[in-house]
Amino acid sequence: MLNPKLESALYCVQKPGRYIGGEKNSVIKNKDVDIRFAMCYADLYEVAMSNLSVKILYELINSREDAWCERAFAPALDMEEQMRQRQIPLWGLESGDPLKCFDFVGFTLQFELNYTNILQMLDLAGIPLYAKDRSEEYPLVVAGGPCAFNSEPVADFFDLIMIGDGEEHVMQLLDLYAQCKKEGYSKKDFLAQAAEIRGIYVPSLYQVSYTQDNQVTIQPAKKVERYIITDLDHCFMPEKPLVPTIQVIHDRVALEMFRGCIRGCRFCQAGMIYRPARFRSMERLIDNAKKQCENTGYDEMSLLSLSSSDYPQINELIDFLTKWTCPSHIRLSLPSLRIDNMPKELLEKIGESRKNGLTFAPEAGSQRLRDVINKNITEDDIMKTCRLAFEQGYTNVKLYFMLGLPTETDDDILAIGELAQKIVNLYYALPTRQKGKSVSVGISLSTFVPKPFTPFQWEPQLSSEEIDRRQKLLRNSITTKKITVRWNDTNISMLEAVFARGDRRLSKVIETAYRYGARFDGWDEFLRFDAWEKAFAECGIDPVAYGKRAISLDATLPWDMIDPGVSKKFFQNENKKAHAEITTPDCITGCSGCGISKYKGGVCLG
Amino acid sequence: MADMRVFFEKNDTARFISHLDLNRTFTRALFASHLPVWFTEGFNRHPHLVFGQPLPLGMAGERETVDMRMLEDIDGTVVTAKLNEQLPNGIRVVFAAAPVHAHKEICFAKYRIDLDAKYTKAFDTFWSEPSILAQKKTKRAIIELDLKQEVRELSREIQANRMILHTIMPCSFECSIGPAVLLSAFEKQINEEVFCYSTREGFLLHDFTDFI
Repeated sequence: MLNPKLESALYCVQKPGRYIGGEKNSVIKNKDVDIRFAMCYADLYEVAMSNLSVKILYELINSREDAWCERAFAPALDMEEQMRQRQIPLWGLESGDPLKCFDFVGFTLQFELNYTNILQMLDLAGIPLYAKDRSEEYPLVVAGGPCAFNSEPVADFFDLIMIGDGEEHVMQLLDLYAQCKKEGYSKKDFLAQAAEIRGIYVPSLYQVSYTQDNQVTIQPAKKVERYIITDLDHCFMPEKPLVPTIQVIHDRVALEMFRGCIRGCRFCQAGMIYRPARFRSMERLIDNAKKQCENTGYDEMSLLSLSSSDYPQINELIDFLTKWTCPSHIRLSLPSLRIDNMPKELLEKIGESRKNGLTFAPEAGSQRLRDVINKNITEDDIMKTCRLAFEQGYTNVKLYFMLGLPTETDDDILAIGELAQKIVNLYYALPTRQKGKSVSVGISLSTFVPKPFTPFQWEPQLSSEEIDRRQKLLRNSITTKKITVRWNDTNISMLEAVFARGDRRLSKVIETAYRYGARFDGWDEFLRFDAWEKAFAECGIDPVAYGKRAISLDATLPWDMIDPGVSKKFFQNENKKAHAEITTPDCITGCSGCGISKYKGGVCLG
Repeated sequence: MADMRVFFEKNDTARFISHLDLNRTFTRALFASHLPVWFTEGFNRHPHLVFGQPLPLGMAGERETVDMRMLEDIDGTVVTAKLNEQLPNGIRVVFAAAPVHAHKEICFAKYRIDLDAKYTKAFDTFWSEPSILAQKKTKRAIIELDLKQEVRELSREIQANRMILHTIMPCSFECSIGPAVLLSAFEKQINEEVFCYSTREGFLLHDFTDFI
């Protein structure tokens, strides 16, 4: 039942369906369980409910008898206003209870530009923002996810941070908590115990300091080793995922084929921090797909991974799935395709259920630059796949590129337009093309953001002015309407770079920007850049020193207390190879000695 | 092929599920239920669903309807049970049977409006006027209408500290006037925001008998 205060607020906001809970497969338990966990995502319901980790952890934690996992997401600005006016503290969607009475408030950190919304949620929940200000009666505020690998900009807000695969890890944490609660441990004693678990980083147990010229010292030297699940095939998969009632962004069954990636693109953090690539068996995937469809009623399923066509038995898997999905009217979608190993059969098979456009990510326009970033695809690959696609009747091709990659020159940028033009020409040269149908090639330009734990973590991001110039250079070189160019806000990329490589000095900036009204900073329409400018100035912090600075390869990095399993030596070597324009083969062609093989998992087993 | 009319309740949290989302919710429930439902044969195959008049966001419904087509004869109790296994909190099928009336035969709906009893006197004064002009916004224009003409029946009872209004209002493809129109006219009169719970109890034909 909704409480009357919330109910009256719901009449005053857009999409009240975001705030009501009660979805199919949501879980209601008795309030006197030992552990109450709030699974939080600092973005709107539609984004949060699209995230796989939310679905996994929700179902997993609720499989424990001693725990009840609920959800809480960032309210939109209109709801935030209502909550403040009517004094409604942020609540768990299932019970309606305020977050303050939970044992855990756990955030998944998926994106740097959600950070102000973490503060928004804590603040609306009436929970002090800084870990040091929270006494025993407040919940433990914890985090995990990809941005947890460098959580320094938000480290002061969290009691503990979980590094690595979450499934077994969160269960270990809750086991320990249940025991400590029974024995009446203090928060401090619990944190000390938790820090003994592999992959758990307790920021308050590390002393860090920075000099004026950004020299970093970290005490103690002992590193937090990432938690890795080596056998993904026997790892938990959601079988009864939540089914949102309002439409969300990814509104379908998600089937995670594998975790990690065999490629070694040098800008890509996911390709490094999820190593080694660990594949699930076909049997497990098919079994799980059936269960999920059965339990949700979804008519659409998406195969998830960092690079779908790298799944070893991708053709057999699609064959099997289509044989079963077609008669039951379930559509299959296959995102994250690579342009170089896209077999004809695969293209035909995806086309069977629905023919949308094809999207690929060459990332760079010239072969030279693709070698620098180790993308390992050739123009021939691109042309071959486009020809196949056109022959199949596709007329839409979307290509993703990054601007401002290390060593990029104007020639590399112009090559993007030339490549798109070649694709247009290819279409018109084909005898099989449908008469009267035009082709459309979309170019999406994002800005390179140096990410921690990648070979490019030391590289500077270009200034906003220079990015603007390069965007214009490309746009002006396009002479046909068949090619459309989209680009993103340089301010957003600039902030992303600051927080990706940030350190603990930034927590004050995030708090100040939040107080000045910054929210949903990754959304073009909500970004309040003026709030950020004021916050940086007031805290005396120059954002240029974070994102736009080249860092020397041997410097101590602010995130060096974390050991992702891939060695720093490997990143350094890869960085040098990038500047020498030398590529590195993928993990199946040959081991490149990144250091992850010591865990003996996935692709490392050969 | 057999047409089936499903009568359902929509209350609690489900009151805030919009009409569009309700459609999607039933589509998914049908998928998961394995009922032998008929699919449209277009590019985008989906079960063919026809709802009665849409329910405004926030209002509860006790006898809402959705029509669907089954590929074979199937007992209404089976449809009821199977759908109820799949629907989210607040949506519950009450019964299902072959439709008797066509949707265009719906003329009125019966409503229950539940508000604070402190408004009783003010409401009685308001309703005693011979003519009450109100405005209703449509997609095209703002229509002026006389509530005393349009509202077919209105009675009230007091239960503890609540005043319950029972009313019948037009609800058809040509013209629908819901409790919101009545409430906003009342609010304008007393110059105060009034909070209430509204429930649509069911659809009626031109002779005020139940739509089934």
